[in-house]
Amino acid sequence: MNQKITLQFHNVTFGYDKPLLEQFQFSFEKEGIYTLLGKSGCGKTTFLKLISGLLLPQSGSVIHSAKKISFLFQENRLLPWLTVLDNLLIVTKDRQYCLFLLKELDLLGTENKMPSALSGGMLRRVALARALAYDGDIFLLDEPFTGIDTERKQHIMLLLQKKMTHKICIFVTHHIQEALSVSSHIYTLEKSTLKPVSPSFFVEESC
Amino acid sequence: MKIFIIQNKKYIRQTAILLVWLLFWQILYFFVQKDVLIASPVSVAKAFLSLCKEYDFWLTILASLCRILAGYLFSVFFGILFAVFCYNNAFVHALLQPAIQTIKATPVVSFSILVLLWVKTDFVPIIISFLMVFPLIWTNTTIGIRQTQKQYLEMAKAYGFSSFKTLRYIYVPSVFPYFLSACHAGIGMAWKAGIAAEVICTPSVSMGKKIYETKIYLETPELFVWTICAIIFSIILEKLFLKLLYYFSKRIGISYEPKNNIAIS
Repeated sequence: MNQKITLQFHNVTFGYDKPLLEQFQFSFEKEGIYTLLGKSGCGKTTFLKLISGLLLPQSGSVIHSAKKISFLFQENRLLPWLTVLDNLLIVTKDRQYCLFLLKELDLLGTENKMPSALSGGMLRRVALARALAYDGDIFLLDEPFTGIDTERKQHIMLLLQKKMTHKICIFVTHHIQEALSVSSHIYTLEKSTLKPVSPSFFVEESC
Repeated sequence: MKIFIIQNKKYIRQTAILLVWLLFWQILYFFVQKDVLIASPVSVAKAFLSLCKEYDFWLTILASLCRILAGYLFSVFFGILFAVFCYNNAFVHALLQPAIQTIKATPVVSFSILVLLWVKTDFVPIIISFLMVFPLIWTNTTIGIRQTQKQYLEMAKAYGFSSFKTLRYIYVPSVFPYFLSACHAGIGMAWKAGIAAEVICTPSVSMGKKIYETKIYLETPELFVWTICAIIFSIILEKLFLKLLYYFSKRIGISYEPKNNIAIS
């Protein structure tokens, strides 16, 4: 039986020159995909880094029950000296699963290529494949669809929805359409609070 | 077939260049007309052929080669070791920096005479080769470590890499091009400094001593032979060592060619 994944922020304060989060409280109670919208510089990436432990809160704590966290960074961060497949194999030993993911992401045939030989969209999909290959209990996806064409985007969204049933996935994006397609839990990060946004709000706005 | 023709063209071109320089040498000899000042290509070839037959000739080359290689390998080992140590300790780095600058600026001759007061003549070329290459390996490796992209280190941390895995997949491939160019530049430097130290300290079996003796006895063709040997062995050593490093880089899965000469001397 799968252990329930939890993620909580307790009075977290963090900032650089000015505070991005102040006495921030939030609890991700249910498993599933949470979309995070917000203006540039509002602290979305910082929020993800605090969850992953790459940044530590100046006060308060981030508590989760995940054994592993998959992080898809805003930049691909693929190792240029390794082939596509080796970039996946450094996070897992399961070769078959890596090849399966490459097939799912329409990357079969690129496994022995170097990242420098791939296009921007392909690199993004390889980075996503690496995050999926690591198979964390929490997924942090920072603008995962940058450079990916609409057709493939739809397929990847379905794949993500299928994979994230028993996981917490925090999906950061600027695009409202992406947010609406992927998840029903949409939040905006503003002034140290996560405000839930109803999907109908965007539908009405777009009408 | 096409490759064969291109290869052939390359060799023809190289032979033609060699012949032009040999002709230039012969013309120079023709104008100078003094065997003491410049030996003719023919007399050098004759001296080379007669030296080649002697067992002593090969033993001398081997002795010099071993000394210089020992100094070089020590400098590679300690250069890496100190670079890693300095990366983890800013104070040690600051402490070592002036010493490295001093070593870089000190002439080989001063070091050779100073070292000669402390150790046996046989060890002087080893120490001199070490001192000439160590700063280069240390500097480049230190820069390589510092240039390691933070983004990759952050990725390694996020994906729970062990220290060994981070070293193997992030640090080593990042540092390797810097290290490789230092090794490349260093091998020639070690060879030249080592021979110079041998000339000054004259160890019993050494190329340096032979060069010194040719000066004493005014044997210019032999001087040319030893100098040409030094050049040839420097090139062979450099090529062999680089092949070894490329092989090693492939073995550890670094599937890219190193950057061109970026050594900081």
